[in-house]
Amino acid sequence: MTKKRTFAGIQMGTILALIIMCVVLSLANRNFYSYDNVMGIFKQTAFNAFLSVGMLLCLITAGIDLSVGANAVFTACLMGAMNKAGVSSGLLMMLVALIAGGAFGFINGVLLTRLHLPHPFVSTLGMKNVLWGLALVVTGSQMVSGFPDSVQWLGRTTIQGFPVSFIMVLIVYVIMHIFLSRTALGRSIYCAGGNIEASRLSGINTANVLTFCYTLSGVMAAIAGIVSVGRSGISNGANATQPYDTDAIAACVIGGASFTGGKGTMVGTMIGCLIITVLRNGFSLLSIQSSIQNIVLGLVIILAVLMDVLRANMEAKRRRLASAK
Amino acid sequence: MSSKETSTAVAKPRLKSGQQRLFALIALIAIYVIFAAFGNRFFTYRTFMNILEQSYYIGFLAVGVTFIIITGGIDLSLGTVMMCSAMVGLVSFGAGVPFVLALIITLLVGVLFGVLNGVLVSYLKLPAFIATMGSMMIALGLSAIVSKVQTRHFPSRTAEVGSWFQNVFRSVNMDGTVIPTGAFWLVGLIVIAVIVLNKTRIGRYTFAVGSNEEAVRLSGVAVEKWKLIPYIIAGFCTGMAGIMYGATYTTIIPQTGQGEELNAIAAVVIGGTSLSGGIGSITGTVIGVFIMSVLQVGLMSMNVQPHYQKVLTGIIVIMAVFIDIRQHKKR
Repeated sequence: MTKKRTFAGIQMGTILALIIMCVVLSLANRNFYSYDNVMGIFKQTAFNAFLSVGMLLCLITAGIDLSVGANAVFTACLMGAMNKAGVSSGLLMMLVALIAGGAFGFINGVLLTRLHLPHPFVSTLGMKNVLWGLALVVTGSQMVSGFPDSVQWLGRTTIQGFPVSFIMVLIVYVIMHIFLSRTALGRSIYCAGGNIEASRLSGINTANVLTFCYTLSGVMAAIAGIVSVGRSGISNGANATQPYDTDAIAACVIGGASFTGGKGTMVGTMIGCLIITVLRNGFSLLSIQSSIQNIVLGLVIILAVLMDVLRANMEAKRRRLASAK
Repeated sequence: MSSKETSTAVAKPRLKSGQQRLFALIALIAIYVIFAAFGNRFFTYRTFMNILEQSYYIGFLAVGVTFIIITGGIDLSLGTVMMCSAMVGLVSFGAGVPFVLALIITLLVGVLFGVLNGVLVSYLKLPAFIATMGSMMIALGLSAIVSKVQTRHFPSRTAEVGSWFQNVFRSVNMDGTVIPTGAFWLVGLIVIAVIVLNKTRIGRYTFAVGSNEEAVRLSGVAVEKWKLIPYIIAGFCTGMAGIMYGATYTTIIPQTGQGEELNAIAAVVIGGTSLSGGIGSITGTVIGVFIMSVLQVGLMSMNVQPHYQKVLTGIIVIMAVFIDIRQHKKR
């Protein structure tokens, strides 16, 4: 694994970028480093951080899941529909949301592995539309509020101002880090992304591994949906058009994940998530409108991917030179 | 993308593509008959006109993106760029630019986005869907900025300036009989696109790049250039779609257009164009466009909420891709 060194290099770069952004924003606006705002950044990060977990897994396998944002909105709306229908148990709502999110993730995985759709981005884009429509159907395109406290707990509660949702994020990230780097299944996810045929021939059931990734992505989207309900107190099907997926992709790619698969770490993704939130937070502090935020994020994604492509090209060139010697 | 797979299939794609086109045509007729039987006043001249008008902008989007998909790429920015270009045109019209010039600006914005996508994909070698997703966000932001998040309207038939607009691009009422002038534009586009795709160097290289990019490169062709051109064609068509959309619906809302690209992509894939590249036809796409618009109008006539249509479009895309894959396997 000679790649380890470049991994560390990328992460140093992204950490540096994060620090520079924070310093610049602190100088530009006094409110930035206030306790409330920093806690607000953590709170904002939680939603995207959960989506990014699933996105990262799919990116590592050289796939993508464009339905995560719509899945989160759908699960939130599903809970809203249950709330409207008179279900009072918050636990039941969350359980149904997690199962539904996981089920749609599972369908994505099955479409990819069992029906052999080779373009996860088209099938998950289709799924995005399906979930977007379903989110509006189950709520009758109305906003729902008045959720039970147990549902809102995760997204709303803070300990001395520190959001519980972000503590949850940290726990999940630590578990996922250990899972990805220390367990057999975690390693086989990287293998499947590096060379799927080789890992299949070496006895890894790649179809199951991929299905697992997409299912977990759905479950994570459902958790993000629960967080969003707690944070805003409402579920709104119209949110499905928000660029949640692109935020998650940007976080992963900034954190060192590659579209060609086999790369990406939880630590890098965490930094990527923080960069995205700091960017958005800084923009609103400097009262720059959200439309410009979208443009900048679009450019950030393109740039991050461009760097990834250039990196891959250079690596290929180096390898060619090395083999020529 | 998976150019290795398609390179061997290129020997007899005509037949396969033809089969799927026939299948799609039968499906179109079947859907039409079903709606005529069960829909509420579906089988009328008015509904037929509705279907036709619905097809104008999807048609332009789909024909343009057919070129891209044949090269093995994709464009997710279609819908938002369409709205954005129409919006930029409208805002410049509002700022005092002559109306004809505003329409040309609309076209130009579409072309510029096409150039942006094309350069990112061909010269900078970004994955097509991520590059176009980035430009989708840029288009979303741009339309909001230029319009200051306010809805704008294209001139209607009674407007002081540009009252000819709807007559030229939608339909004209001649002594009671409605003549769908928009259809002439669509037919014109189809004829030109068929010629370009089948009879010119652009078309030949579009297919060649899609079926085996490496082989084309090794035979000394500037692949980058021939990969860029389809994106520019699609950009032009998208700008044109913005004009057609404006003529049909007149109202342009900023930051909308998401989901339209899926309608167009669905139409293309239904028509037998393979997402793996190298296989496809304009006639198939046109059939796909009409399937999509018949479905939309038909479901509306049965009072189905638009949300269900979103679900259905998603399912159609997944199914169409599934069929596409199955066909490749049979070989």
